[in-house]
Amino acid sequence: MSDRVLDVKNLSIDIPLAEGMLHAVDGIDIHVDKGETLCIVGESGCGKSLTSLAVMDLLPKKAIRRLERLDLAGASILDYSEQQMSDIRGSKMGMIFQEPMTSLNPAFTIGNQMVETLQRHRNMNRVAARDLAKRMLEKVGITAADQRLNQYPHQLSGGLRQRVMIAMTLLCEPELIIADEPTTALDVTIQAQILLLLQELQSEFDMGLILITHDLGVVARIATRVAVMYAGQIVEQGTVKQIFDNPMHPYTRGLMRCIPVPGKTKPGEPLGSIPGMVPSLVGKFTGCRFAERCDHVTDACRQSDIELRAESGETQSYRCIIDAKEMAKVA
Amino acid sequence: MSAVMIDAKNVTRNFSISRGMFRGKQILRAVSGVDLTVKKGEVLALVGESGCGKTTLAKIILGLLPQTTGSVDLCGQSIMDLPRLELARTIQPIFQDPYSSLNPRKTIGSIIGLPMRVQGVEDSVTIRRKVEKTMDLVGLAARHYNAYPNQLSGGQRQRVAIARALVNRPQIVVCDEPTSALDVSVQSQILNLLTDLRKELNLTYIIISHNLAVVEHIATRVAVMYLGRLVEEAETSILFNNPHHPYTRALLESVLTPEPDLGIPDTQLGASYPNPIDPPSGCAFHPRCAQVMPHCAMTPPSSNNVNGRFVECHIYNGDSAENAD
Amino acid sequence: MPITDEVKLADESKLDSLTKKIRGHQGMIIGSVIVFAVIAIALLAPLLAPHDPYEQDLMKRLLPPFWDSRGSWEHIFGTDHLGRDYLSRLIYGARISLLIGIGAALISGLIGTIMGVMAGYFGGRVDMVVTFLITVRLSMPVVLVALAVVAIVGGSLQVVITVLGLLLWDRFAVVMRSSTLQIRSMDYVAAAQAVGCSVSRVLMTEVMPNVVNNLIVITTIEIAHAIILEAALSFLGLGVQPPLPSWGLMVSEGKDMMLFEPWLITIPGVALFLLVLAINLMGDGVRDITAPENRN
Repeated sequence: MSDRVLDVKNLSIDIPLAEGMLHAVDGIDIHVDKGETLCIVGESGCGKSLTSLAVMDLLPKKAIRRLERLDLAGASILDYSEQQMSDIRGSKMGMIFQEPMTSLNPAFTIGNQMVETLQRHRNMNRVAARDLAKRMLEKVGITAADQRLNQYPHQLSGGLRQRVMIAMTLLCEPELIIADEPTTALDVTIQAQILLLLQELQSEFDMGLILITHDLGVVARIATRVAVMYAGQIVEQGTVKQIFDNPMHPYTRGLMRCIPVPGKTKPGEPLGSIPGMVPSLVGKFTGCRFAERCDHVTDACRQSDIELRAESGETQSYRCIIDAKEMAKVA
Repeated sequence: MSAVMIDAKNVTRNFSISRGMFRGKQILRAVSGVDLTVKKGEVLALVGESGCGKTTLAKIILGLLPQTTGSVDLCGQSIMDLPRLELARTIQPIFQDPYSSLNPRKTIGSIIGLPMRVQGVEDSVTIRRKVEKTMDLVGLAARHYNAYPNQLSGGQRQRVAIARALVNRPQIVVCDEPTSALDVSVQSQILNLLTDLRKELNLTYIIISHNLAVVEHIATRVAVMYLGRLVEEAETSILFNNPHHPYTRALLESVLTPEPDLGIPDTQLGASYPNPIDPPSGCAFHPRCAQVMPHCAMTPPSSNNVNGRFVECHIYNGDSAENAD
Repeated sequence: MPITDEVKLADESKLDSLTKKIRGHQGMIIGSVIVFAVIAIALLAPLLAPHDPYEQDLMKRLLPPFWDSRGSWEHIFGTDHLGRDYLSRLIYGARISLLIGIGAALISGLIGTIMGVMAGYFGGRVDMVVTFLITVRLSMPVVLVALAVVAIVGGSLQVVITVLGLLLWDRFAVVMRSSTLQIRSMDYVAAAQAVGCSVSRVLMTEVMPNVVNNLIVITTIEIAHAIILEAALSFLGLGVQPPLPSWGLMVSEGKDMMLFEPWLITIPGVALFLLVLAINLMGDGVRDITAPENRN
């Protein structure tokens, strides 16, 4: 489909450790279309950040990436060399990280870094580049843009820095933006502003947006589609309404029960919880990875790997042997 | 009427910030004229964003930092008069980061047992027994007694921190973002634990959190801070249902609940960000206020304390001609 | 209260995991072997040395080591210009090097650690004073000052150890200060204060155990540093006085005969090099192994 900005098929990431091979990500498929926001949600260690690094080919050297398909705006970038990847990173694919202080070079001014990006990727001259940079800063809501261009990252607050990051990412009008926990380190009020900004810019530039987060509230408000990751696999995916109105996978359901919602959960009542811990992914693992923590586990769950299942015609799929009708009956 | 556990009056804490060799010093008013009262069994939530002073205020109440002016009384006694050991028996902290709140070179048993040893208990059998009892209370398996912190998960470490705080059965516990650094599925366990412990041990909590959903769930009263000042305080349900101060409103609007149809709110706060060293004139919030009035920039608002509800805003202190909401 | 988390504790005993770690660290093994060998040699000097290191025999001066055609097994490393057995002098020299290295490091370590930890923990004026003292010390040329002191007071083993000890504390202070600053900001220090620990208790039980790693590394560096400095001082004639068999002195005494009797300087030179290298390797290894991150 010409609207498909990113198409990833069968991504696996293995990391060799002293104690064995860590199968950090195991055969996941993700896709994003123009104007769509895919939220990858999961807890620490589920592999969501590694997935985004794999798409950008920024995995640590030791990591082994295996993919059947990796298409960006219809063109395969699976076998791109480092030089080719470096050309599209920052121009066709933008990335926004959690901590803008580490992704902005503290030794150069904002203006310097933005102009450099434009010179490199769009071959612009200094004057034109600086002008575009200024307009982009204004677009992301930064006042006194001229002065900001002359400032260094440490002179800006966290929220401002993240806006600068977004502005920098947009400079080359990328097809796809991957944002990894872009607002986790920010204050709550700033978080809302940054997310609103991202949403507005996404629709204006008709980009695909992948937003990685552990915060289900963020997911609910900004996502078009959701992929829930657990222990290196996607355990459920669907539209945002499907996931929140009718979560199928026991892990998704468990997560939903853990969160207090003002107005919905009764204050003082115990919150739901998911007992146990994520299993070790070192070495071969057969069966459902959530088995040890699941209320509905049976022996069959441990015997063979579970595939994603979807009811016919449904866009929501989940990785469990219990079928939809049974799942509807179960708590 | 419940006993007053914490009575803070007009607490101010200033820091001297050096602006470089030749530019002299500037005053950072981290906490400015805060009055706070906490009764037994209450859970008071201190909310606010970075730079609001909530952590500094918590440290003052814990006795870890002296106030510049003002007084703090714990259980009727001035904090300055309380000897170190008695202070430790009265009030204890639980910190945010389970990875930096435990000494990596000590065993779990040693960490939890420290408060007892400091209080003078020498018999190791007594210590071990009480430590194991407290470990059980917080849901830690006894076999972790000789483990080291880096062998435990984040949730387990936080339980160790809770056990350490509770081993001497204090009256007041100050929790600084007790679950922010934890995964969602672990957060709920720790929150449930904290609630159960409060009932079981008859504790009084001060909870610092930026997560308003959590606050709404476990706090009885909420105090909102902005740039060192207390701008609003009320019972939780009253505050959440009918916030007065525009900042509180913006804060509550910013809470992203997992409800897909609601989209992302526009809090109208503008892009300027407050600088604690050089705060705005008049009402510190006025540059970002959606309901700002001309005199907000000139005079600081006086406070209005009615029916256990405190708010510091020109809209509510009868100074203004109009009354919003 | 439901116990919900599982953790796999090490099934192996502490000793097993320790030996596993040591075996994995080849540098440390080599270093430690050499260091312990030198210590053993120094301790057992009377038993190991084939001759009296001070006994002169002018008929047998400047005999080459055993690998030379003119050498003999009676004097394995040959003799010096006064006919003293070189191997015996080397063996007894180990004592001097070790004494000076460890002695100076102990004194400077004590001074520097106290200053650094105080500065890092208390900050403010204490930090200002300590930083000033460090700056003053750093602007002094160590060797010249040492020379001056020795020239006035006279050279001897005790003087050298004291002088070096009083001069080499700066790196201890700097490293301990920054380590302490880092630990100071940790929540477990605040927790210990909240629990009621006195300042001294916090310093001893919370701060020190966590800065000791860096202390070990710096101590090994400074031991090596002191050994080399003493060698330099003795070489210049203002360290340990003859007839003590300091390795530095041996090099000094042999420098005039360097061209034709090179073993006079190469043998003590190699000994110094090996000892210093070994100390550093061992220090690195000990630090790596005892780091809490490596625990299981």
